[in-house]
Amino acid sequence: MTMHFDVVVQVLIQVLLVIGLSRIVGLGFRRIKQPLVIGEIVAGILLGPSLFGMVAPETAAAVFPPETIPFLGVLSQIGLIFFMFLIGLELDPKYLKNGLNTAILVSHVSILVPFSLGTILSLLLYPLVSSDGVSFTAFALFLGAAMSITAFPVLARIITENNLQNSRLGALALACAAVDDVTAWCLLALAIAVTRTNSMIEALPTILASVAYITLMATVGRKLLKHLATYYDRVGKLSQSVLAFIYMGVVVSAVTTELIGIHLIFGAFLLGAVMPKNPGLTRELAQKTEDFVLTFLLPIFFAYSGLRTQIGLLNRPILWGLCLLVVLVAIVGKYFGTYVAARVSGIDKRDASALGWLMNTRGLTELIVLNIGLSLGVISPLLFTMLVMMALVTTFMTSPLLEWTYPKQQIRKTIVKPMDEIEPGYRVLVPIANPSSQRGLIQLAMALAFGNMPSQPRRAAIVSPLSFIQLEEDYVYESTPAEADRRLAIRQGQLDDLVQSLEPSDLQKLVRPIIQVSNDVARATAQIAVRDQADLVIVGWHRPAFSSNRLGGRVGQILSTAPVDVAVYIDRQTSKLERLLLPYVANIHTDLGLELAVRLLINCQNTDLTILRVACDDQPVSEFSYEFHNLMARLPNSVRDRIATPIIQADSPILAVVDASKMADLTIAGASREWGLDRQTLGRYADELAVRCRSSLVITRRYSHVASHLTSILTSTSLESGRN
Amino acid sequence: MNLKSLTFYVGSIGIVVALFSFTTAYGEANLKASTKIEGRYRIPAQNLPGCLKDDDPVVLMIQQSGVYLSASLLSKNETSQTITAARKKPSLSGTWEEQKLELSGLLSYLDDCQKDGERSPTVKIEGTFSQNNLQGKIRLDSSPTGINFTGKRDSEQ
Repeated sequence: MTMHFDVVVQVLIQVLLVIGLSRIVGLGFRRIKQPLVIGEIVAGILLGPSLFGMVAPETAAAVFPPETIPFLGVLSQIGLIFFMFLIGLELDPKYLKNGLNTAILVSHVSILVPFSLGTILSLLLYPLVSSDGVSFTAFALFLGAAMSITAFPVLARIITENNLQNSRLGALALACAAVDDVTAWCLLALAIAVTRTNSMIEALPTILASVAYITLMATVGRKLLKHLATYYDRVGKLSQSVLAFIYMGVVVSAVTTELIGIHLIFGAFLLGAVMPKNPGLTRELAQKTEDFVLTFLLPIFFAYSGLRTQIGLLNRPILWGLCLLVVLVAIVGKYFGTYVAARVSGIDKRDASALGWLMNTRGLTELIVLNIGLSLGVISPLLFTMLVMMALVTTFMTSPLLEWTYPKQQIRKTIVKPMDEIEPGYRVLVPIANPSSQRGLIQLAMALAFGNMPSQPRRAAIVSPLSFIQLEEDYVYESTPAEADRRLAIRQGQLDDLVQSLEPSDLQKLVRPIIQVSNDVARATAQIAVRDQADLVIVGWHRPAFSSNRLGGRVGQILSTAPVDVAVYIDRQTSKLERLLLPYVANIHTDLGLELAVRLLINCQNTDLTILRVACDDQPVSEFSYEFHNLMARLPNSVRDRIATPIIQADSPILAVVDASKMADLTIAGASREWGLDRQTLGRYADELAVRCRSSLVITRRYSHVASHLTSILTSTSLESGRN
Repeated sequence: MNLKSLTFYVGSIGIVVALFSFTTAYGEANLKASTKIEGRYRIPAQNLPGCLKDDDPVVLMIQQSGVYLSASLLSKNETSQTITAARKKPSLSGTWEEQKLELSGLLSYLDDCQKDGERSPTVKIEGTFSQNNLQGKIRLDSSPTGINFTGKRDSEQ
């Protein structure tokens, strides 16, 4: 590489590389259920001497020449300042409303224990990895602070993703992390002041100045900023001039704390923290700021940090041993500190344990601390690398360990208010994307579950419309717990309206919406189906205008992954359910279709069913299976009388069915090749019938060979009497 | 906050403050971190063995994390790209304990020491440090005995 570019061009090429790689790795980590941010940190490390520099040192040196690094440094500092402002902005006193005393106790003890262990560990590490320019006190303070960090933003995301934010555990963890954040920043400020002056006594002026500045901001600053909220409420939007004013405030505050002798980031954080928490203002401010900061500037910070992380320095077993020790001390200190304090505060074992794991999340907050330490020279590159590994391990392990101590079922028990305890014989789960347009789907589910005739005796059945709030991104304001709650409440309102509009109204109470946060709709649907022992998942589908992948996407995923019977409903806006059509082919998916059709016949007395068989020239007509005859024999006459079983002669089975569907309100077809419906080959050829059918269509796919959709309904006494 | 929590709280803070004071007092008094020797050392090469002789002088670039060192031998007029590469992937590693320096590894960054198709020669350096000077022996794998050298630390860092 002999090309020589202008420095600006070089930096821009680096930025391109950094943003591209951190997106890719970040999304990769999302796929394995880890926060995006860990992936971004890892991407930064990959670009540094740990991988890129190790494999191709000359190329890496050409891509990241030393003269460009200061520019990356400045960009990353700007990113950091605004990121800290966002963290401060997110820190809502609302999180502290529950159990503040417990939170303060738990979070302080959860700092004290790892801090003490860190101090003791420095007795071992100081002679080995520090050099004589650094005082022991500064080293011990720094290591202690690094051990006691909890990353509020990462923790908040993990909590929201697990739908814990309204549980006692979640609220407590959020409060603890918030207190922890503030305390740890104070501790870090102290460590920096001591490092810069090299003794506790000489750091005193800095400490006093910091306390004075914090007090000033929390009183006068807060009061002045309140006017901003008033102004915002009056105008109703955040103008660019106001935004410029706020950003100037961020910079001024950052520079002030730097001049005082602590660090830029504290001022930015402080301003964010004292901003009035007016929901509209905060949301708009966060949304305007975060996209550029999080997608552009923060990855640069990770890359800058990764360029300084040199895993190759761990080149002898003793160093790996020390690294392991650092990781263990960090984990054990945080876990036991939290656990013991939580137990003393009267929290039960499982919650205390989950809290211990949650508080171990160090994430990028730790990375911020470490980079400051490295820049100040208080930690050496080797110790920096060990602590980066520790930050990665502790963040990485949180989600799996939380799942282990606090399985999803357990979470549900603590959140969901128990309903009247009827044990439904039949449960239909209806994932809906848009509550306003899927009323027809829910009416069908109701018809299947308990019939839509007001006079019909109620079956013990429940329909659960299932709605997900998706949090696509990790750090965005939208996925903070408070914001997620707001969106959940809005969605709940929409679903309540939907339920209110259902007919007949006396059955509305059997429709029970489930709303939760999830990023993987298909997987979450499958999990809930298993958890609630749903008998059927029925999902709606619209033909996308410009896509050839017709039954693909989310519906296709649910269809191929949910471990229960699935029906896909394609609504052609028919309001009646009086004439059903079932094209018959002997296979298990059609059997499912038949069972559902029979359920409709039993539930709705004006409905009749045509079971259509087609005879082609080259194919004999499909014989009814043993199961079919068996089912027919079990039906009462009042139902059997409404079933017709014609055979028609045609060249193409599918055309014959399309033709017959003109006369039907609803066609029910098992997923099978004859109709071009094959769940194994969803996609281009998959769903000819889905496109051409002239009535509404239900495509059924059988999963369980044992489950019967008729057990609950055929044994009920009303039918037994009708049979005779 | 009830009495039990308060006692626990005050007690634990007290213990931690005491522990911290005691540890730092002990550490400041008894523990000594290693002298900082990180930097670039210019070594006149007339007397150096083997391929090292051809570069005059050679530069020993040392990076330090406490007692653990990593380093590379470079030629004086090395491009900044190679220097950066050497920082990313140092070719020597070693320790700096009890005023004794030990480094060993490959001569990957000296062009004169690379022969086509062969591994870079290995090198061992032992030495002591005083007042910006590094003194010691340097030994290539080809030669049985070490050759004395002196290196002076560049003032520019």
